[in-house]
Amino acid sequence: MTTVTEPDPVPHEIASLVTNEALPRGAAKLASETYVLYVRQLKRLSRQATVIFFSLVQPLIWLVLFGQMFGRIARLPGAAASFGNVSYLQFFIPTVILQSILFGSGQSGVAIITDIDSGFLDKLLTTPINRLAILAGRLLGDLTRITVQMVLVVIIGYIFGFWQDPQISFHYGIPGILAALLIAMMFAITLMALNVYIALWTRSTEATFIVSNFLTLPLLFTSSAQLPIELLPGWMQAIAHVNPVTYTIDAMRVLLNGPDSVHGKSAGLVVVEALGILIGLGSVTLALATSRFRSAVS
Amino acid sequence: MNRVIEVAELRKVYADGIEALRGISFDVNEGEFFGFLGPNGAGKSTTIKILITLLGATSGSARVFGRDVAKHADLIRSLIGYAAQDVGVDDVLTGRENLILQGQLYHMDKAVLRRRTAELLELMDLTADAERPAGSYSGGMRKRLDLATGLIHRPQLLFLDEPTTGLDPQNRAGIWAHLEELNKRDGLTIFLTTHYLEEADRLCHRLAIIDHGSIIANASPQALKAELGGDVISLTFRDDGSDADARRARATGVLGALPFISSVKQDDGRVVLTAQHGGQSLPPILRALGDAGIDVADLTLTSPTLDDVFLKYTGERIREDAPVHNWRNTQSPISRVMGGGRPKRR
Repeated sequence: MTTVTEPDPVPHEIASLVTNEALPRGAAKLASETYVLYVRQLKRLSRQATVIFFSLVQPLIWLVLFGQMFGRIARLPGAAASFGNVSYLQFFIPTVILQSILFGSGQSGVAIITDIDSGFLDKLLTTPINRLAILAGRLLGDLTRITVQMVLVVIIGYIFGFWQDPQISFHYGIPGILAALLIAMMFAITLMALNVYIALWTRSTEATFIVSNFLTLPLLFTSSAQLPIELLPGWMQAIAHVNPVTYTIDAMRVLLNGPDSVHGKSAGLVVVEALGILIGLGSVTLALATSRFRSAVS
Repeated sequence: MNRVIEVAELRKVYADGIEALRGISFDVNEGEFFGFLGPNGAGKSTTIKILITLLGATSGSARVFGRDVAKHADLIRSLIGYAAQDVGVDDVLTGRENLILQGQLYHMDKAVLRRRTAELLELMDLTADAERPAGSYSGGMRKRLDLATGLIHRPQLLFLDEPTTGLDPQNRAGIWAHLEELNKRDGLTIFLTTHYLEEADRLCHRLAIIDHGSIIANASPQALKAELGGDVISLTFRDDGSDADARRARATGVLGALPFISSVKQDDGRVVLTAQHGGQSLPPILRALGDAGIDVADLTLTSPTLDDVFLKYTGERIREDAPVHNWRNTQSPISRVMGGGRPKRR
């Protein structure tokens, strides 16, 4: 380690900072500060072996357990068409992706509370940082974690698919996979922003987990995530038709498994509906989270 | 002398109606080590949060470097450093990474930041542990790292909110030495809040004593203690067969005639007097009593403390267990129902 021995090593540079002229302005400042905090997130993630292990292993366990448990259902007489004539594993891959998002997005809210409680947020707020960079850096970091999970699920699902009947094949190839992941990322941002809002509303990690889980499981089970919508009880079908998870997962299935995955609608309509709903909902939850965050730090 | 902080008639009333500041006024000069001494809940943290731009005032004015804190928040943030009781470092990042992260948020030049980081690690005796995660540091090391992050951009004014709370005496003394060095060597102006009397007494050139949202005294620690009339000398006398009360009355008369004695009174079987320069007063006191044939059995000499000053102005000793207003958040109803919520900030 070298020690700086010069009497005053940084007077000029700091002097320019002091006059506030060295600071970039507007969007460039926001982008640069967001990037700094995004890198912080990635460093934190890369050093937390337990988080990495369970983030990656949990979706794979779901894939194996649920794939095996319900594997025969998709082959029952008359059911194959409802599942889009693919194996249950292939039907279930988008579900595992959404489950990972539903269960993983709570972390965004909890982490913000942790930063508040530890005093780290105050430290950030005493710098001239754009307040939105704190939120944006957090969401982008968590989105990266969830995206890695999603890609892994697709790859592992594809590998497991060699032993399935019928074998897994992605209808639109790599472009379809990328489009499906893009839909999933929009869903993830929507949900992460919602969790940030819940966290800043409750101001408690425990309450955030409870409220988040309270919403997560009903959203999952009253959608077409586990079973095709026509196999659900009537009252559940009614809920599923207004559940955004249904629209998200149907669009992902169409993009991954082909147009036969959803009945009664064209593939294009399914995707457009999902995009519309996610853009609308995402805008609302992002606006809510931003507004709540702004008031929390001002 | 330039004034770096100017506060006039500052009031803060929280949403729940608690009046944390009741129109306080004070100034801090360039190069000064200024202390805000008061018990928990007195209004110290509220004042500092307003000055570092994290909290808005209800009325009055607060200016830092001549600029209104509410109107020039970004400029002020680039000029000040801050370290609090809560250690604001990322436990997963290393000590060096914490410093670099903080410097990047000031958009410091890479080479400058690298040099400044090395300099601060050296200054805070953290060079050998720079590549270890901050979470593995001891409490004192974390506090020193936190202090270093507040200095990364070479601020001209450093705010410290109860910086040594929770530290053991050895680590506390270590932090004090660093702060004294920063103030004396670099001329850094420091604004410190504390409820530790010894800390305020040792470090601060000037002190404002705050209680229940009002400043009740503002002067140097020496001047505040001098207001109490000097050192306190307490005496008991050897039994010589005469009436004890008469003996004490005679001693009171002898001592009261000495010109350097400010006051003499009898208290619970003792004679208690105050004198400027108590140590120097002892020989003539003993001589005068000896000449009067009164033998001293026991003598104690104590210097007044800031606690005595606090007692004088408030009628009570400084307290450390008062409730603290949770300044940033008021818990939502659901959080209260669930018994959750972040711990109160102290």
